[in-house]
Amino acid sequence: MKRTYIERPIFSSRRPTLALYIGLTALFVFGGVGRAGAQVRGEEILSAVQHAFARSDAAAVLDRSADHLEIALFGPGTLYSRAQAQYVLQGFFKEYPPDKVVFFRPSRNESSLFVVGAYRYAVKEAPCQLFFRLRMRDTLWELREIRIERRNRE
Amino acid sequence: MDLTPSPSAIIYKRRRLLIAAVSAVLLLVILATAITRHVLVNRVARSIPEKRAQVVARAFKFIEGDFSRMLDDMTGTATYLSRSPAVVGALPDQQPAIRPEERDRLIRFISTLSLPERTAVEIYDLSPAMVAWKGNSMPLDDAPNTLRFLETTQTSIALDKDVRAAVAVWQPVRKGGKVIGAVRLLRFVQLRSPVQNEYLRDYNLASYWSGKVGLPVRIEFAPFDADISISDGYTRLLQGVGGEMLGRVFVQAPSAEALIGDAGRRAEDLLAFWVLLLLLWISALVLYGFFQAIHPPASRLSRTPATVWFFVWAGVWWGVRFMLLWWEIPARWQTGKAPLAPLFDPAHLASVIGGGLMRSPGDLLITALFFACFASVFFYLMVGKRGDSGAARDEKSRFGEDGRIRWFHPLLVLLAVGLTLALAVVVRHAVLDSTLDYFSRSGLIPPRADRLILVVVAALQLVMVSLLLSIAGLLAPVVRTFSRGAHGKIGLSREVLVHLVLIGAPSFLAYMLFALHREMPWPILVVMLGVSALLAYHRTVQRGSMLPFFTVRGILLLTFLSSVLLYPVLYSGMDARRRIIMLSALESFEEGKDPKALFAIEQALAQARGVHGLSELLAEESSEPAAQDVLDSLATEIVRTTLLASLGPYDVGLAFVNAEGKPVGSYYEAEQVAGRVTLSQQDSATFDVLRAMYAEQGSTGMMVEQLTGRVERDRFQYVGIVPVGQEGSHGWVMARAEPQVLMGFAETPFPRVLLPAAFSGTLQGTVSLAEFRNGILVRSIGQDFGRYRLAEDVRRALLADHEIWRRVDQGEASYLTHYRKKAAQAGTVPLLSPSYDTVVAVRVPSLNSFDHLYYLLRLTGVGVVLGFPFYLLGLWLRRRAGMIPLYRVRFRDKVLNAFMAVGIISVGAVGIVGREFIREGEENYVQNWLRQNLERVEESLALATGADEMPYHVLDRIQIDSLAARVGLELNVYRNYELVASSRPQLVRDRLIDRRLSIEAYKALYVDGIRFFVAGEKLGSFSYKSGYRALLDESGRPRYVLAVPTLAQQERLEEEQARTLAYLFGALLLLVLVVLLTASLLANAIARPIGRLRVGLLAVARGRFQQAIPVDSRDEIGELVETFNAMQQQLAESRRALAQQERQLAWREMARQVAHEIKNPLTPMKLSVQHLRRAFVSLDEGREPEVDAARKFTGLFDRITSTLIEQIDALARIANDFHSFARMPTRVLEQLDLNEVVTEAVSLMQEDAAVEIHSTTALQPLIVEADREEVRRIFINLIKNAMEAIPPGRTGLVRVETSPERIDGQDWARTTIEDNGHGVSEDLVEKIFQPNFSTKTSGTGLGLAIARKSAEDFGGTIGFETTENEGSSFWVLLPVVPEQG
Repeated sequence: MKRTYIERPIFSSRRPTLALYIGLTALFVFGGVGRAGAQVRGEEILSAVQHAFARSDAAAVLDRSADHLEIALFGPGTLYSRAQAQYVLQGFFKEYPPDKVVFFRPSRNESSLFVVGAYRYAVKEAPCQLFFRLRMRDTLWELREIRIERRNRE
Repeated sequence: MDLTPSPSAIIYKRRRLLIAAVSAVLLLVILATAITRHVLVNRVARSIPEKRAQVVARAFKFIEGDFSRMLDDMTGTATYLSRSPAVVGALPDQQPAIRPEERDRLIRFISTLSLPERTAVEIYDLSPAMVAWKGNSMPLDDAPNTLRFLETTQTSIALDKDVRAAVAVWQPVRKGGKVIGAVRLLRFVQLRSPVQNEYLRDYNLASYWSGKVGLPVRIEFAPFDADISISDGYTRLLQGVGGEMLGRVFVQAPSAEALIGDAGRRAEDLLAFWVLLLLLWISALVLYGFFQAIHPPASRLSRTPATVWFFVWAGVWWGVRFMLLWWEIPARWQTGKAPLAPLFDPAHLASVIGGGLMRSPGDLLITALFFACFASVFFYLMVGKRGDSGAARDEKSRFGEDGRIRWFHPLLVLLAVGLTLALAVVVRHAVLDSTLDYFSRSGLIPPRADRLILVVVAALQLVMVSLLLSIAGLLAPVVRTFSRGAHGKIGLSREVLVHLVLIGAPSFLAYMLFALHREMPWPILVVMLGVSALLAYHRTVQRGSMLPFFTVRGILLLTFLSSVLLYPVLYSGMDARRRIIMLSALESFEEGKDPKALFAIEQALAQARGVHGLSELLAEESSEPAAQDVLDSLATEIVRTTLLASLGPYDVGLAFVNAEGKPVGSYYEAEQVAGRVTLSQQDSATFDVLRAMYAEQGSTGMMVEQLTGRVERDRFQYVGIVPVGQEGSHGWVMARAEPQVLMGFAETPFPRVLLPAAFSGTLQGTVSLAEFRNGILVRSIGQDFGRYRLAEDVRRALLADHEIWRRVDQGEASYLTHYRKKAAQAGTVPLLSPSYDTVVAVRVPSLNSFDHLYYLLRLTGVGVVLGFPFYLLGLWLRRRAGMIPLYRVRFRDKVLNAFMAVGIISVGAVGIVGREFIREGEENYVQNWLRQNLERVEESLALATGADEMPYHVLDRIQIDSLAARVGLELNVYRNYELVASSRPQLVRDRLIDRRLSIEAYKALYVDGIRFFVAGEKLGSFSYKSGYRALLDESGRPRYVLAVPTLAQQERLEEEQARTLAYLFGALLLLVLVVLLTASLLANAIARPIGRLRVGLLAVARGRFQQAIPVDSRDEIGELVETFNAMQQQLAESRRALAQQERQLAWREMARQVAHEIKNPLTPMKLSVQHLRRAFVSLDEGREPEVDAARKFTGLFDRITSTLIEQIDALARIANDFHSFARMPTRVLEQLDLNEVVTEAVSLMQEDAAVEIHSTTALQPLIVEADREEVRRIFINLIKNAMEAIPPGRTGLVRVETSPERIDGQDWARTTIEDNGHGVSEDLVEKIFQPNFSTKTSGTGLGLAIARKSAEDFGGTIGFETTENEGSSFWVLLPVVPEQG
């Protein structure tokens, strides 16, 4: 009968354990490396947003958005997180697939950029109005607001 | 050869057939549905025009039917009213007017009417003058102007500008065939709200129909702007009951793609259902395989190990989940108006983490259910079924049970830590990626809009419990190893510490290096790991049952534990969200320039400049005063149709200015619009400034600038001008947007209900904002910045940091405050100078302990509801395990259950009564508040009265705005039933305040003669109160009615009520805990002595009298215990005397038996000796030759002495056995650790054993009361039997194991001796414990009989299970001595 505990090694095998510790150390050392964000002009972001809107690509629309942004889709605006906004926009694109998206002249001051546009979807005859607002934060432009309104409230 | 298949093979074959058949059916159905979809889509694609016509016709059928039903309903109600005696009796047959008493009766009758939503009724006499009403007012429609008026039922459309529209049904009231009046019933079909938020929404019948028919619908009400054309097939007329043309409705025909898509979608929905069934079927099959592998029956499907089955199942299971997400199941079946549609709406909650696993509240719940199933199966795999053996044990042995740390053990702990972090991430995102108001305190059940919180919380609770199960599964091998490695001793020994450090080091390193405390606080992490480890220990080491967790108490305990663990993580997310909202509010506050406002002004100016004929109108104004009205209307239209109208908290306006700089037409949407003269002066002054700037800058087109605010200089306004004609030769257009004073110093608070949604979101109502310049408060929103000077320590802290968070105590209140230093503007002094800094700050009230208790109670409540299905599951499981119906209920359980029931019912009753009490108290408070304020208004009027004047006279000459400002209240003034003045004229213009007094207030004040009255009012879905006070004239009749609404105060009142309720419920949670704790203590205090008494009685019943029960209570139970002890003592003495007698008898019997047994070998011995003697004598006589005789004698001697030795040995054995059998008199009872005795026995037997003996002893000591030597002999006997049962040629294995066991509330020590010998044949099973029975030739057959007698004498029992040719397992149960105290 083998009942002695003390004389046996605590680890059943040293090699895998050593490998585990080495792996974890490597993870600690290299795991924290992230990518640095690039500075992009506000107009470029607007252009990217316009193309993303035309493609119904919600993730691309929010690529340069703030962590939280206000979205109003034919109704009252709500502050959404970027993750939630992605699904909200996906639902919108599904219900109102874009036919044509046009942006007009942007209005800006030192820290904000505002642009209005037209959103034409498959069924509706008259295009809807699009409003986008970007804001500068730590030298980076962030999308802060998306508003889509019908021209004439019914 | 027998070719007949065995029964197990038949079962196996049948199962395979069933599986194949169901799978084939499902696949066929899927194929058929896919083909049907293809056919349907093709059919629709070939007949688009027909299908389009069908769809539109169906839509019109619904619309016309619905409209017709609405008209029928209205006509029916109007007819009923026109024939009711109260109406007929009240209206006079002829002029003059109605008699007062009849009118009062009519008012009373009408006020009791219950009308549907958005409906109003008016009763007219023949004038037609309105004599009674209920509901909102509307201007008269065209019906009274028609020739057929009052001849029959008429329908028409009543329009109130472009704000409201209603269908009106006129029903004549007749008396004796003569028309004496009319009933007008109104149903509002269009309501436009100036702002959109959770309370105020536009309503449109067209939108309702659009939602119903699934196509865009538009209604144009009569009179029409253009000729009616209904030839296109997509337009229909809406006609009244008499054929009146009320409007026309347009239906947008669906596109070909939409039609094809619809047809395909319907088939896809069905297809999705079949695919779902198929996926679940596959998953169920794999799970079945897993259970077969873990508990293999004879007809198992496969020999694949259970671990492999599990991983396959896990892959399939999560594959099913992602397939459901991909196919949008069940969200695809719950769209539009479906009852569960909000569950799958990402606007409430959606997160990208997990690839869509929580993309809606419903999906989060489904994912939680999937995780719960996964965790349960994983737990089952890792810890196995209680007392399992075979395959499950083999699976477990792979994870090591030998006390050594395996390489993957630290990895398992790391995984467990990772899982807790995953929980933190999920919970945090459930809060941050959500718009649900987790801070709502409106009762245990959140308001309708936020009821989905319960779903989310339920899902998170489920995730938490599943996570504990998963971690327990992960830690099970570690816990087993740990317990073995720690030599079964739990304590801080050196070995335990070494194990802890080695296993936990990677997790600790990861936690520290990645700073994971931000995601998961270490106490929660430690508690979660500890709870899971305990669960694993309970299940794997102690072999405890899981069924107690499925009882009411178990579920309550688990729920509370889960809530306590979940809440800190949830609160961390809530706190983060609160800070995000605070920062968002601060940013809006801090942002001096609003580009949206700038753009809105540019848009409005551009639109105004493009108006055809504007130059002529501006020029005409000088000569035609009527042109001013046209310009006013034009300004109104421009403001309302541009972005200006949706700017939110801005006062906006547009003015036309003629070439001379004089304002000639304007429109303003503002909180408080000044009179035309004042406005004109302000416009003129502003225009002069702008015109000068325009000239100075040499501008040519449009110019928008920031100017000093009109109300507050620090709050800039945006104003823009654009010239009409060459350099303004014809005039100018000026647009303005000025931030509203939401909550200024000397103004009445701004009602939250009137804020646009973005400003009325979560917490916004409680957020206060402030700006400090040079440490002095210069502007603020909200009421929580009570100090006008920035605290010095904050200023000093801001010198070091750009922004800081502080918890600030102010009076009795505590606030979470964020301060941020604003960047200095160009031209100002340096940023770091403390003397010239600008600081903006935002604060919200901190949550106190009661708030936390309240949220915790909500979590627990949801957990309890969630636990109900698990309770039902537990009922089924316990019934299956034979635990229900209960054979016996423990007294402690009965007492505890009774206390719990009483406690919970009491707490529930206190909660209900307390809630009602608080509500009633709040009602009284509101009533008193309104009464006092109205009295204050009247007093202030009385102070302004002149000689012989009544207070109402003052109202004739005073501006309502100045009166409202003086008393700091919102005020409305009615004369008779009409609104004559309001301090919120914009609300009146927007029809948010009706121009007519409510019938309930009118009845109370004018009919019942009550001076003060409070009525419930509604603004959209926002409920508030209005207090009314009649100002009497000289005749004692109400001349005016003053009304004070609680619009602005309602939010604060509700907040206070919610807070009080939160305190109540928080206190109740504490009470529940105290009640449960007290119940547990009391039940233990009552049941413990009774339990001891029971143990004592059992001991007495088993013949043990030595143990006196301690007496620790002075009540009746204490007396009972004392009596019992005395009785036990007497019994012991009697027993001793009796035993003495019995021993004497026993010895006699023994002597008789010994004599009998000894006689048997004595006879052959005597005969042998006699025979030897005779042989010896014959040798002496020399009858044979000496050599032969000696040889014969030698042979005989040898044979006979051998026989004698055998007989003597037999005698010795008999003596030994009887000695053992009769050992009772020498038995020495003592308390001993069974583990030690078993270990001794095993060691003894191992020394010369040919087979290997595996010994496993319980971790804790198993103290029994017995004779040490006798017990050791029992085990020696059993081990010896086990070893002797190993047939030759087989590698023997004997397992000896001790473990604690609890049966019917009694603790037992179980010892099992298991061998892989030949087993016991079926015919011998009954005889094996009988004395004198043995399968061996050498034994007396007393060994097992003695063992059983000994075990039974010690209050225990012995038994065995056996399988012939496979082995036997003998077990001995001995009662564990209860711990003292």
